[in-house]
Amino acid sequence: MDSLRRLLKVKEIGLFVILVSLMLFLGVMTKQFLTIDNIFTVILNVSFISIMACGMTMVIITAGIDLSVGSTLGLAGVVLALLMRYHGFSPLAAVVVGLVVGLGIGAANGVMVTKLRLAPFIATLGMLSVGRGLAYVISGGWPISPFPHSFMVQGQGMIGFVPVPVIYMVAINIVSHVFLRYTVTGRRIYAVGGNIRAAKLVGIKTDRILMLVYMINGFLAAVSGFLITAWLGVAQPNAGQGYELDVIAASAIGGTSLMGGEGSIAGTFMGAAIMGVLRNGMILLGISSFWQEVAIGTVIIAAISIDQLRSRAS
Amino acid sequence: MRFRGLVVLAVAGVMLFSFSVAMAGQLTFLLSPKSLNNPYWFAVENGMNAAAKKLGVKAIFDAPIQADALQQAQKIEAYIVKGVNGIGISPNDPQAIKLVVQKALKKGIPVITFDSDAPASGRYVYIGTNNYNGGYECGKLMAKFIAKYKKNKSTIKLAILTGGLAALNLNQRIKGFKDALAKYVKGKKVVFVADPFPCNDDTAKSVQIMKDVSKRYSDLDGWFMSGGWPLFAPKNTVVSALGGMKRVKNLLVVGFDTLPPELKLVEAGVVKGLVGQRPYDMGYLSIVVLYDMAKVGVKNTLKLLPKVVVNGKTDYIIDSGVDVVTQENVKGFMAKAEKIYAKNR
Repeated sequence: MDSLRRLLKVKEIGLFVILVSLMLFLGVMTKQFLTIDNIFTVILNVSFISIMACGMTMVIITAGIDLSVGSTLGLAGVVLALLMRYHGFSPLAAVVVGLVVGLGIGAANGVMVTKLRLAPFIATLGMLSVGRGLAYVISGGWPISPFPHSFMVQGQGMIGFVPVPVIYMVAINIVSHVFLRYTVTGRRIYAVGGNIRAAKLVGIKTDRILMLVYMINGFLAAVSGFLITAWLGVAQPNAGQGYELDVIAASAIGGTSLMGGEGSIAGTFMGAAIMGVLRNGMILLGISSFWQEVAIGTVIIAAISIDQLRSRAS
Repeated sequence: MRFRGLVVLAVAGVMLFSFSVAMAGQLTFLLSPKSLNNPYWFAVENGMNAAAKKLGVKAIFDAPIQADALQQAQKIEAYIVKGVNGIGISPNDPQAIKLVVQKALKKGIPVITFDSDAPASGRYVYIGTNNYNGGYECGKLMAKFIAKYKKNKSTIKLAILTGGLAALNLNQRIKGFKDALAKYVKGKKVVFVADPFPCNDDTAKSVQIMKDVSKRYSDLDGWFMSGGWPLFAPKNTVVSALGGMKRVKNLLVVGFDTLPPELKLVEAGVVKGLVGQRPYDMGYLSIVVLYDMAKVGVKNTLKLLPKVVVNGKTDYIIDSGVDVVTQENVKGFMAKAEKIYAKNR
């Protein structure tokens, strides 16, 4: 009884209840939602956002934000595609370079925030344009394809009935969760977000922590870029345009406070899942695409409001 | 806990708002254009609805609101899982759509393309404009205008505005345009000031491009718009972007598509000529073809359709044809166009 009570107090339980209720509701109202094919389709769609949201959660925990993830996704995709298609790179080498590009963009963001003392919103907003512009410059505006089979399998392949990108997502979520919750560095990330001055006084190298989270975020955006390119079989310079909003929404619904100091990977995952289930469910229910956007926005506002009320009450 | 309950109820309420009860046994088809925010597609939707009404079937028109290859593929995938009897697609990217087309075909759902093709995806039929021919007509028009308005110039400077650089349909139009110019322009040299400027199907962006290019090349003789995007804007916006009414008088603007705002520009003399597609017919025919495939099977339907041989392989292409509009015939065209492109609510 006591452990049940403790379980109910866990913040993420509320989200879990919402997610499960949604899924049951859809399972009843439509006959296709709770099929294996559909569930894994939804999880696959969620993967691309969830992977990026792991990094975004860390950034938001430090009271920062990163608006450039969509552009990083596109740029990394274009770079690795070009290397594979026109410069004879092996898929592995090309992907590694793409991931390094993600790290680089993250590092640039980190430098602007820590050394130039720019507000993260402004710094990453600028990088959003720079990254997107670079993607267009490098590609000349053209999409790039085709790719070798070993690369395509990373996006389109299945292990049993589990799509490969889902496996990447699960691994990244687990590693991120363990990192944030159970390592010293993870705890320092929370500390920096909770009270950066106190963290400095305690001897935490806050600049280094900030650099780290922005670089992780850039890296994960590049991972998503790699997987989307593999799933679609083509890299486009405009890939990922606008995705940063979905990623931030997933983190926010998941209970990550935009003021910093609070958030969890489990919550973010469920935030991403709720959005993915909503989008899929509305198509199955025959709701117009225009209303879908209204619905998603409503859920975001509702979730954040509830979180605000809860934190004010405690 | 009370608050959590409210959220679940709110979500359920929003979802029930537009809940449509599935009709048992009624055929349902999906048409997925490139995006929902371009008025060109209203005509496809109107044609689709007219055919659906006549045949007594259900037709869904869905796409990402803004053109995005990934979101289009994901949406179509959701409908494949939901279960539809046929799918028509105008793909943002012919490569990106391959995976979902194959998934649909594997499930026994016939797939066709309209307006823009994905020839290597496995789709059964393409219904649309022969874009090369459409572009060729534009080139012929431009050659005529060059002979009429630029008698004394030996070098003609043109700019090309396009949508997405990779869109197959647009590139075919540009090729047709250039080939026709090469054939029909006599005794003059045609020079393109740059590679085609892409606006990614965004009207606001296209107007900005027109403005910047007009400023940069003050001796520009004309424009070829491979689609209608900047011409959906109000007349004054277009005129100002092109450099003012005085400059527009001698500017040879040839565009694609014949939506009402574009026709008004032809009437006003801002645009000299348009080659229009027939998106209403594309929507209508797409439903008819998908209906036939659902009723009598794909093989029997293909037997009825025009066959072409491309690179030694048989393909099925329905050419929906083009309309050529200049100041001479624009008035007669206007009424029909207003009806076809009306957004029915």
